[in-house]
This record gives sequence, C-alpha cells and structure tokens, in this order.
Amino acid sequence: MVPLAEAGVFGWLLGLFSFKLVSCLALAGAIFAIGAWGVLARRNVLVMLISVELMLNAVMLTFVSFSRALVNMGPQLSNPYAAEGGQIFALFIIAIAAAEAAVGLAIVISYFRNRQTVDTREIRAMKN
Amino acid sequence: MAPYLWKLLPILLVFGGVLGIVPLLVFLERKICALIQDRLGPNRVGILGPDSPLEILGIKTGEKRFLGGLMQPLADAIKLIAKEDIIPPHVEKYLFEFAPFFALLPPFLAFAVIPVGAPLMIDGKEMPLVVADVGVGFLWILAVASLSAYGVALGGWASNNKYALLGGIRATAQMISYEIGLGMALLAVAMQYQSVEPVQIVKQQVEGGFLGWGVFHQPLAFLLFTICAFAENNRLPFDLPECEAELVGGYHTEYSSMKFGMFFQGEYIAMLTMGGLLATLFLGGWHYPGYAALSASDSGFVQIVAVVLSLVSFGIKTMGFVLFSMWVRWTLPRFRYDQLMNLGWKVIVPVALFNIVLTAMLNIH
Amino acid sequence: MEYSVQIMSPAAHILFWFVMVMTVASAALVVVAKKILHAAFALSICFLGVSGIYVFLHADFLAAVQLIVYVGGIIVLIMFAIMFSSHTQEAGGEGGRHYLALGAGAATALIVFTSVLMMVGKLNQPLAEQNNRAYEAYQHTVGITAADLAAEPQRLGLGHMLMGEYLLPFEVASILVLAALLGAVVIVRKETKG
Repeated sequence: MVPLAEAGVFGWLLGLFSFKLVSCLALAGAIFAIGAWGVLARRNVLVMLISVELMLNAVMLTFVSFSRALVNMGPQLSNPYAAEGGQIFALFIIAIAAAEAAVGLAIVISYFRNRQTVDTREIRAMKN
Repeated sequence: MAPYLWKLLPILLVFGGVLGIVPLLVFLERKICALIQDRLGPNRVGILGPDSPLEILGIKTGEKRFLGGLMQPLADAIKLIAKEDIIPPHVEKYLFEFAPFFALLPPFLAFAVIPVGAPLMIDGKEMPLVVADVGVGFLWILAVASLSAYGVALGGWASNNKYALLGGIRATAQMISYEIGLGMALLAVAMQYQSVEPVQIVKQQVEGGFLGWGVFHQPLAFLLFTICAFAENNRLPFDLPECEAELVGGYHTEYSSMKFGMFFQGEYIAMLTMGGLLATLFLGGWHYPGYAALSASDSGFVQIVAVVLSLVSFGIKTMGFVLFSMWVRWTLPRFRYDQLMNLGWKVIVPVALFNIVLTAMLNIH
Repeated sequence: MEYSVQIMSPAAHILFWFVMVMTVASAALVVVAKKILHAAFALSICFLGVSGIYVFLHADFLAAVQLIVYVGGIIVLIMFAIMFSSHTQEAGGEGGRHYLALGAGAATALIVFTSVLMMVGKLNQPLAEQNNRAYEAYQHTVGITAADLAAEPQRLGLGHMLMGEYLLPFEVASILVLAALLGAVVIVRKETKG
C-alpha cells in the first residue's frame, strides 16, 4: 500500500479500491458466506436451493480469479495448463449445477404436487 | 479526428437507425396487414392535408391528403407517452415497474455485435462498423436473448392476473425451448466458419463472393434459424404468449401507457435484431455483389460509396426478414401449444443435431 | 503490485466496484427477500454481476456461458418452479422464528466470511512459484519432459483443453447431465394409467 502522503487522496483511494486478486477473492468469500446464511436461515426449499447456487458461484469465482492471477505471472509461469485450468473447473461446476438444479427442482415440484408445501419444517414424511 | 471519435460512428448508426426505424415498422406492419387482408389500414394522418401535424399547428395545407397514414406512428407515440400510466392495485409494484426494461434492453444490447457495414479505412487501419467486436461473438447474442425471457415472465407474474400469468409461463417455456434449437443451428454455422465472431464470419463470406453466402453452405441451419427466430420473438405463428383469442393480451394485459409501449417497441427491435443476425450469418452481412470491384478503387470517393452501399445492403437484408415475418404473421394461423412444443423438441432439435453431424462430416480436413 | 491482476483505467476500477457492490447487495437480497420470486430475481442480478466480474478477469467465454446457462436457463427454471409451487401473495411466512434464524445464520456467515478473509490475507508466497513447484512434481510423476513442454504452445484454448487433457471429465459430465435430464423428467411426470 502506497502511503497517503505520496499518492495523494485520489491515488490512495484508487490503490485501496483497485481491482486486485484479493478483492475478487473477498467478493467470492462474501457470496459464499451469504449463500451459507441463506441455507441456514431460510426454511423454504426453493430459497435453500437458490442459496446453494450462490455458494457454487462463489467457488467458481475463486477458481477463475486464481487462474487469471496465474496468467498474469506471465513468463514466471511454466505450466501451460494453469492459464485456463481454473476456467475448465468453472465450466464443469456449471454443468453439474445445471444437473443439480434440474433434479432438485423436479423433486420440489413433485413434492409440492403431493403435499402442497415447500417448507422444510413440514417435510418430515421420512422421519422416524 | 481522434480514433475514439470514430468509434462513436457505429454506435450512432446502430442505435439511431434501430430507434428511428421502429415507428416506420409499425406503420408498415399495419399497411401490410391491410394489403393482405383486404382492409384499409391507417390512411388519415398524413404529411399534408386534413389531420396532418401541420394542420394541428394551425397551418392550412389544402384539402387533399398527401401520404395519408404515414404520420400515424407519431400520433400513436404521442398518445402512448401522454396517456395515464395506470398501475392496478393488485400488482406486485417493483417487478411490475421493472419488467418492461427487460423487454426493451436485451434486443438493443444484442445488436451491438452485428457489423452493419463494410470496414472503414482510418489512418491505414481497418475499423469494422460494429459497436463492440467482442471475442465471444454471437454467444453474446444468445446470452442476451436469454435475458428477454425475464421481461415476459416477470411482467406476467407481477400483473397478478391469471391471463397474464398464463401468457408469461407460456412465453418462458417457449423461449427456453426454442433457444436450444437456435443455439444448435448456430453451432453448425460456427463449425462451418470455425469462428463465432460475426466480423470474421462476414469476412469469410465476402471473400467467397456471392456464392460464399452462408445460406448456400448451411441451408438447413438457415431454415432452422428462421423458424426459431419467429418463436423467440413471439411472433405468429408462434404468438401463443399473447394470443388475444384465449388470453386477452397475455403478459402485457395489465400494462398501459409507455410501459405497454416499451413491450411493443421491444418486439419490433427484437425482430430487427434477429433480421440483422440472419443477414450477418446467412446472407453475407453487408456484402453485395460488386463490392470487391468498388472497394479496390483508388478514389476515396468510390470507397466511401462502397461503404454507404454496404450499409444500404445490410438494411435491405434486415428489412427483408422483417417484411417476411409480417407477411407470415398476417397469413398463417396460430399453432396449438402442444404442436409448438412438439415442433421445438421433436423436430427442430433432432434436425439441428443431424445438421451438426453433417457439417462435421463435410468439413473434415 | 504483486497480485494486481491487470492495469486498468480509473473508470474501469470504479465500474468494477460498482459491479461488486451490486453483486453483494443482490446476493444479500436473495436471503432477506420476503417473496420467493423476488429472491429468484435478485439471484439473476447477482449472477449478472458475477459474469461481469468474469469479463474483468478476461474469462469472456465463461461470462457468456454463465449468462446462457445460469441466468437464461437455471434461474428461469427456478422461476418456473416458483410459479408452479406457490401462490402470488404468499409471503416468506416463516413465523416468529424467522428473525432468530436470520440472525443466527448471519452470525455464522460472518464467521465464514472472516475466515475466508484471513485465508486470503495469508497469500504471501507468490502464486507462480507455488504453481511451478506443483507442476514440477506433476511432471515427475507423469514423465513429461521439458522438450515436450517446449513443443506445446504456451497457452491452450479452452476448447483444446476440453477435448484433450480434460476429455474424460468432459464425457463423464455429459453423461451426468443426460442422466439428470432423464431423472428430472421421470420424477415430475404424472402417473398415467395402463
């Protein structure tokens, strides 16, 4: 971090709020935490599914930011697969998230058709 | 002039052109409808004569009407803007206010990657006449087109009215189903040209001359794309979401004033965008026979003429698709919903898959 | 700066922060929204923001896929499920426990977020160095020589990687998606007689 006296107010602020790997990772962490909050706090199955999607997205964002940071290392980098490896992981996560959403929503809809509820406190037919 | 000022030129051309042409399309739609169904169509508000805008301002312009009906879109626009904007008490307010933007914006954004004219030579560098020459090419159009389902779905839901909700659900299901067919038809095109960037695709077609146009190389994809474009735009014969006979007005039943106007405009801009994409991928984009001879000329004036003619050529191709869709709209009856879904999933998707395999086999090097 | 991802104009930095704030705010709205459809809509805004961040990270293709599959596919599917499984005026309706649960969940989320931040703060060792070391170990096990590496282009495209190094996972993922498709159809299908 450049001292305030050297950079001036504008430059200091720019340094603080510039686009960095750390800011992307912090964003991913925030989204993940919010997703976890949703899964823990809400009792509607659909909202819980949505929150799981948020958490998956946070993980994807982490992969992509790290892969971009590795590309930026440029000549220091000897591994050709590092450059877009993170994006490949993100693509697989998207494919699996799509499958998860399709099956999850199918279960929710068929449950709603039988029991007229999507509240986890009411869903206890398998209990005991 | 600074180079970034030249970048403003395509932006002005595209957005000015699209916005300017929409009122004309409304007029054309009604006139073509009148022609096909043996009606009269708008014939009152003209440029001169009784009922003309000049007459309203108090200038007498004679007894005889001149170009009657041409000023009707202007009158309609004034009416739409000036009308009371009714928000019924039973709607979900925020989503209700938000939905029209989702109907209007996506087709606009999609137009950004379509090259509208031949590249200009500026300081010895070629500048394609396109707003944004992005690497993901027409994937951007697919991505943005998928957003337009939101306008319809949210509009239908927020209206809190069973007809609007049914219209919204129908439209969403229809749009996602046909997006798959559209994407697969475009996949074959991408395989053919080994690129997804519209600028590159047009370049290859221009190099091939008239017979290099995509329609001669990908006839099946052209057919599939045309069908899917109709369904994506919710136009007849696939206008189940509106379907006046069953659903009153579908998803925009509860909308009035300019919010309805935005849905309405969005539909026409979407038609233009699909027409532009069709022209770019299958009809050689801005290319016209004789471009090679004109652009090879030494004279700067002739080169500028070549670029202007390319703009005209692109406009004619785009308008050709739009006029074709109007012709179809007023000629064919509406599909039933199960027929629509059968066509989408059991005909278009398999044929598109077959086309992909065929393209792959024909392009083995 | 060691981890600075790229050099951008101040306007781009401001845009980045705008997108970031929008993403976090809409993600929070997903959890606190009373109506489920509002939550789904907020989720779509959040994913739009994430795909914007992908563009900043030079992952254009991934941004387009995010828009097509997530925003245009999965969330529309979720909206469908919401329209089929609830009534318009039904609120969150989670009773008196609602605020307690929200508070407890928020506390947990805060702990998660803090620990992520602490981990991020520990990123002291240059990334490339770590990566190179890991790759040397990998080469050692698989037996790729430096000459093999020199023959390859330095950066492979996503498509080449999917069809080469990652072909097996790609095929497995496609089978998984097919199975999920069939499974979803079987689960929601109405039972017919005969």
